[in-house]
Formats: sequence, structure tokens, C-alpha cells
Amino acid sequence: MRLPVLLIAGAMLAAELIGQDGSRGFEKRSSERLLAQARTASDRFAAQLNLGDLSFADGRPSEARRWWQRARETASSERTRLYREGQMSAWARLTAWEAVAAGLLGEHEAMRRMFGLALELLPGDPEIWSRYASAELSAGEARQAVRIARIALAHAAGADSDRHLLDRATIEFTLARALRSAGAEDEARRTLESLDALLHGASSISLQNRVARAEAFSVSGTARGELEAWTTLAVRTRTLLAESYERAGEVAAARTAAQRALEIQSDHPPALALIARLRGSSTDWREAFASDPLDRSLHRSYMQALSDGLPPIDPQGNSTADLVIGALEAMEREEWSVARRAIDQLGSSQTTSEPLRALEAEWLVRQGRMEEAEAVASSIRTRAVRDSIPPRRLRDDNTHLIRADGSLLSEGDLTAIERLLRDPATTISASAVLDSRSYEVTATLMEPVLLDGNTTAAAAITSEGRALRFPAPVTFQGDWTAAAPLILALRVLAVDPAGLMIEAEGVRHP
Amino acid sequence: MRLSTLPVLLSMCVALPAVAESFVALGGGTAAVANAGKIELRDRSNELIGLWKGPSEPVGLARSADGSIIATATRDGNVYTVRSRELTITSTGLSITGLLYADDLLWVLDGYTGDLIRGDGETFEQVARLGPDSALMRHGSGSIYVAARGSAELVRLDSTTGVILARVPIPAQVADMELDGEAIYLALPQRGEILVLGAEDLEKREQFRLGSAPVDLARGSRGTALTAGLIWVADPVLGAVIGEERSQSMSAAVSRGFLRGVLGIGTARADVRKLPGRPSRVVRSGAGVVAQELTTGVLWRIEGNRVVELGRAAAGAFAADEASDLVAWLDLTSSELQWSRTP
Repeated sequence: MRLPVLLIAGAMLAAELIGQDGSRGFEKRSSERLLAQARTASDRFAAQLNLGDLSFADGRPSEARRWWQRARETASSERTRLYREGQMSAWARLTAWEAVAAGLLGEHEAMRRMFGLALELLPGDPEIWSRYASAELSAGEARQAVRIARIALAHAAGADSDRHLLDRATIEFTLARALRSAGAEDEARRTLESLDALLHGASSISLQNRVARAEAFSVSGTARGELEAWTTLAVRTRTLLAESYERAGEVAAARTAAQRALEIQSDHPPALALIARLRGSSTDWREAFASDPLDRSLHRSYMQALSDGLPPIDPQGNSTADLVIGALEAMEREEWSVARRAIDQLGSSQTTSEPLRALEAEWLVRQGRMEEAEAVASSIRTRAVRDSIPPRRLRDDNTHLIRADGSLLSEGDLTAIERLLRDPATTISASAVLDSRSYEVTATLMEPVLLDGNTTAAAAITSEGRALRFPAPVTFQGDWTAAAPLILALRVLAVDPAGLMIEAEGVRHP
Repeated sequence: MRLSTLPVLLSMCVALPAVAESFVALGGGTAAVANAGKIELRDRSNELIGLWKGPSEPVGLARSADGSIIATATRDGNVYTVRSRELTITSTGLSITGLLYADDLLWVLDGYTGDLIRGDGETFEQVARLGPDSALMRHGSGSIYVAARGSAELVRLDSTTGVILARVPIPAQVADMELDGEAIYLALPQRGEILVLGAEDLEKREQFRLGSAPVDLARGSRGTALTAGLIWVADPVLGAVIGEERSQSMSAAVSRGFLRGVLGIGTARADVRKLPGRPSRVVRSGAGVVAQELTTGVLWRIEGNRVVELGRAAAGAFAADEASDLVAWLDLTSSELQWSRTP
């Protein structure tokens, strides 16, 4: 089960990350479209998880929880189906995804148990380890996230494709964030520098070329997977690196890193905000607000800068950016009515009320009116399409379709058996009946090996053009290497992605 | 019937992160239980004969060869040791994922970094650092074996000196490891294969397909001239446990198959026992095995053609005597210790 890459990147890079690159509207539209068009549970799950992350980034925690809960329910339902059908690899992967949803909902013990179950079946899987690291980081366990991210990196060694490179880069990014959260700032910086080199080095040339050939990364309405993931990672890496230099007092290096982030995405609000912080010029701040005046991280940065003594810009115009700056500066001066007027003016010109509600909530929070602030945040509605699961038609018990004990099976019979075993509507009683019956098929041994002149071994047979496998090589008395057909008595054991698996009970000449 | 005093499987070196949160270990005629902040010792009549404070979230349970010493641990590095009925708690600073007793020493593994220490439960010495995602610690033939999955290696250490004796490359995706004295069996579920190495030299002996996704192993009875002895696997994709004659590769089966043919025994084949569930744990139990489906906790005992559902246990919280049909488990609902039969 492979979810759309952008949404993988979105879910793996914690909720705080989504939306800070100025493309939140684009990501939200993509997720809404994916949900509306979802035909598979995995698409539905990915969209619900991402919509939750976007809601959280927009400061709507209650709505975020609702989306995450829906995602968890989708995953749980699909996992039941996969388990029943014996698709254990897909089940394990989806278990790991449900673990992510559980973690987002604060159910950390359940999250760890589910990651444990997934890793029982898929030990050494770097994607699951990576997801686990990110989930522990989101759960506030930074040191544990560091340990787990190192395991993920060990298993992700040797990126030999764009996809693997992105996987490795995502893990390194998670490791860097975890190191930073754990207080290991120097090591975090080194990791980011190494990651920046990886993303822009020789091994990522094909990705970089594809990005260069693609249309400018702006609102395009479609998710383009790996390109978006690379861009997101690349710009965020440089931004975090710039912030790291800033904290270390290396102003020139911070400015350079922020500029290099803007080379990837010219309107990246955190990078613009950082430039503005470092330079302290009103021009830089205006440019940052012009790129995304409603970006909350930008608002926080500006308020912090004002609090640290930055001279206010004091805008006089009526553009969205001017009104937002005016509202924030009024809040800093505690001129609540002035700020309110600016917010109301914004409301009369905004087509979307969500970022505006966030600004209003900030206005209430600063006055200490916490309950009203929460009520405002939870009243925001999205335009996301509600998911619906088409009702399943339950079928009758399929027992009557199963051939009688001792029957000689045709190709059609084998097809019917395989279909029966894969059908989620097959009842338990029907499965039990199938388990109990013996059949015969006309077959030849596949790649038989004559062991000693009177014993033949084979790992599978061919019957009616279909390979039927034994769980382990079987030896038969006699020489059966002549490729002449034989009659094999068998029981059907199971079906897995490779086809039917059988147990031999006897062999005879036709 | 007395419980065997032979050293049963004492390690509960679980993979990262731990699925099991409770542990049961048999030894010395008793069952030790680590669960919910307690360490309990119970006799065959389920009488409580010892109770100590334990970790709220244990990561393993180990008993010395004679069962007299019990050790458990927490993920944040505390080792709880009960010796002569006295409890000591020692902080190791590791993120413990597994522990076992070998030659009267307690070996403790930090599976995240691969740090391996050993000691008497109160003082420890560093033995080695094996790298990230180290797991499946096992003891046999005077050696400690650890799968260092992050570096895709199997490491063999001398259990007396702690010296690393050998390191060989193995697939990183190994789910379980089992020893039988002469050979080491590795379960590779993503390949559907079993890899067999020599226990002394770690040389590859053979690699063969078995089932669809073998995730857990248990050694069965010792071999004879006609039966090579069994290795059991739990295969959740097949929904079965499979008993496979050891060394059942095409070439290695020649002599046995030939003999069986001469004596008219018939085809040699894997012993597939389908279960009404998807087992992912299997342990030896006398002449049979006990298997568990982790998601539901259902326990089955399989011997010959008989499959008996024993009950439902907390994930991984069961133990079986290798010399008899006795099984003990922590009931999933009541969290009380259950026995397969009373004295």
C-alpha cells in the first residue's frame, strides 16, 4: 500500500510543518479533491489524515481531531478486511498508518503497540521506522524519536532511486527536528547541512531536473508527488538551517541559508520572515506579508519581533497585508478596538473566513478571553467534501459453490476457489468447508528434481496453466520428471498475493 | 508431573517496539509473571508464593537456569532483579529491549543503539555496541547471538568472555531466530524463507522457502535417522503453523527421503496445521507446540493431529514447558495466570 507521496511527506513531516510553505491552500484543495474522488480506502485515509494536519496547522484542533478520528476509523475498517484476506503485508503497512492517526489523537500506547505489530511482520522496513520516529516526535518524545530515526536511517542506507532518496531525506529531516527538540542543536545543524547537500547533490540530479522542468511551484491544483516532496523538504531544510544559524548567532550564515531557501521557493513565508527578522527592515517585513499575509507563523514572528523592539511599519493602506500588519501592531500596543476594526475590515473583503477566525482567536487570546477564543476556532467550517463509504452488498453463503469432496478440478474450479478465498464476503463456514475437502487435479510437477532414481522433489505443480505451490518442497516416490501429467490429490491451504498454496496428499498416474 | 528443570527459553528479547506488555516465564516448578507493576511467583496450584514491586511496562522477563533468579526491566533502563526473594532495582542508562540469563549472568540489550551489557543484576559491564535495531538475542552452545539488523549482521559472542567471535552478513529483515545446538534458523517473512547457518562458524548451510510469511520459529523434537527433527514456524498469511523437517532442502533430503521410500513411509512433506486464525507466535510444548494470534490473544496447543484452543492470553504472555504439555498464560480479560492443567 503506497499512499500518494505528497501526502506521505505531509503526514510524516509533523502537522506544524504543513502550511508553512505558503501552499496550504493548494494542499487543502488537493486533499479535498482526493477525498471526493477516493475509490480506495488508502486514498480516503490519506486525504482524511492530511485534512486533519491542515486543520491543525490552521489552528483548528477540534476539527483536526475529527479528521484524524475518521482516518483512524477508515484504516481500522480496511485493516479488518486485509487481515481476513490474509494480505498481511498490506495489513502491516496500514497498521503503521493507523498508528500515526492514533498518535495524533494522543493514544500513544496504542500507537506504539501498532507500530510493534507492523514491525513484527515487516522487520527492517525503513518507511515504518521513519513513520514511528515522526510519531514519537509528535508525541513529544524527542530522545526516543532520535533513537528510532537512527534505526530508520540504518535501514534506508543506499538511496538508489528518487523515491528512496526522498525516503532517506525525510528520515534525515525527522532526525534533525528530533535532535533540535532534544536540545542537540549542533548535531541537528550538521544533519541539516548533510541533508541539504543530499537534496542538492549528484544523487538528486534527476529530481532537481524534473523540478526545473515543471511549472513554477504555485497553485496548480494538482499534486505532483515526488516533486512537491522534494521542494517541501529542500526549502524547509534550508529554513531550519537558517533558524539554527540564527540561534547560534551566525547572522550572515542565517541570512545566506534563508536566501537559498527563497531560491527554491521565492514566497516561502518562514524564510521571508527570517530575512525580515535578521535584517529588521520594513521592506523585508512587507515582502514577507505580501507573500502570504494570513500565514500564522508569519504573524507569530512579527509579533515576537515587535515585542523585541522592532519599530512598527505602521501601514496606511487597505491591502490585506496592510490590514493584517495594522491589526497585529494594534494588538501589540493593546489597542484592542483598533485591532478589532482592522480585523472587521479584513472580514468584509475576505472570501475565506478561516485565517480570519484565527486572527480573531489571537485577538481574544491576547486579552485572556480563552473560552471565547476556543469557541471561535471550533466554529470554523471547511469546505471539505464529506466522505462516504458505499454500502457493501452482503452475499449469501457461498458454500454451494464449493465442489464436492474428491472432485477433479478444472481451471474454472481453481479460479472459483481462488476468487472465493479472496472474496471478503466469503463466510467463515464456507472457508471451513473448503479447508476440509480434498480434491484432485491433473498436473505436472514444476521443475522436478530426480534425487536418487526413485524419488522426485518439486516445490510446485502446474495445473490448467496455473502454478499451485507447496509450502515447502515435497518429495514423491518414483520418477516423475518426464513431464507427463499426473493426478495429484490435494487440499487447498490458502491464497496469498502469489496465488494458491496447496498441500499434497498423494499422487498417481492418470 | 514435575516441571522440567532444564533451562527453558529464558529470554524474551522482543523486537522493537514491544508488542508484549506482560510476560510469563516457567522454571523451577513455578511461573514468574511480570505485569502491571508487579512481579509474581506462583506455584502449579496458582498459589502466590512471591510478590514484588515491578515495572508498570516491562520489556522482558528472564530467569536463571534453576529458576531461582528473576529479572525484568523497563524501557528507560531500570533492571529489576529478584534474588533470594530480595528485590534490587538498578539503573543502567540504556533503553532496554531485551534480557536473558546465560551462565548465571544477566545479559541486557539496548536494541536502539545495540549496547550490550552483562552483570549480576546490580552491577554491569559493557560488552559491545552492535548498532541500531539489534534484536533477537539468543543463548546456546556457550555463545550469545544477536541480530544487528541495522547493519544487517549476525553477531556471535562468547558468553564467558564477552568477546565477539564472528559477524556475518544476514538479511536485515529477519523476524526471528532459533538455535538447536548445531544450527541457527532465521525467519525471513518478506522472502517467505528460512535461512540456516552453522552455529559455530555462522556459515550458510541452506536457505529454503517455507510457507508464505514465516514470522516466528520454535525448535521441535530432536531428529532420528528417519526424521530430521522439526523446526516450527508460525505463518499468519497461511493461517497455520508448519512443522518442517530440518535441513529439508532438495539435496539434504536425499538420504532421509530415500530411507523413507525404502520403508514405504511415503512422501516427506511439511506438516501444515491450519488454525482458525493467524498465528504469529509459536513455542515448543512437549511433543507439540503452542501458537498465538497476537491480535486476538487466542492460544492453541497443537500436537499431532490435535488442535486445542487453550484460551486467550495477553500478547506474548505465555510460556510452555518443553518437556511436557504444561502451558501457563496470563488471561487477556482477567489478567490472572492460567494453567493448561492443574496438578
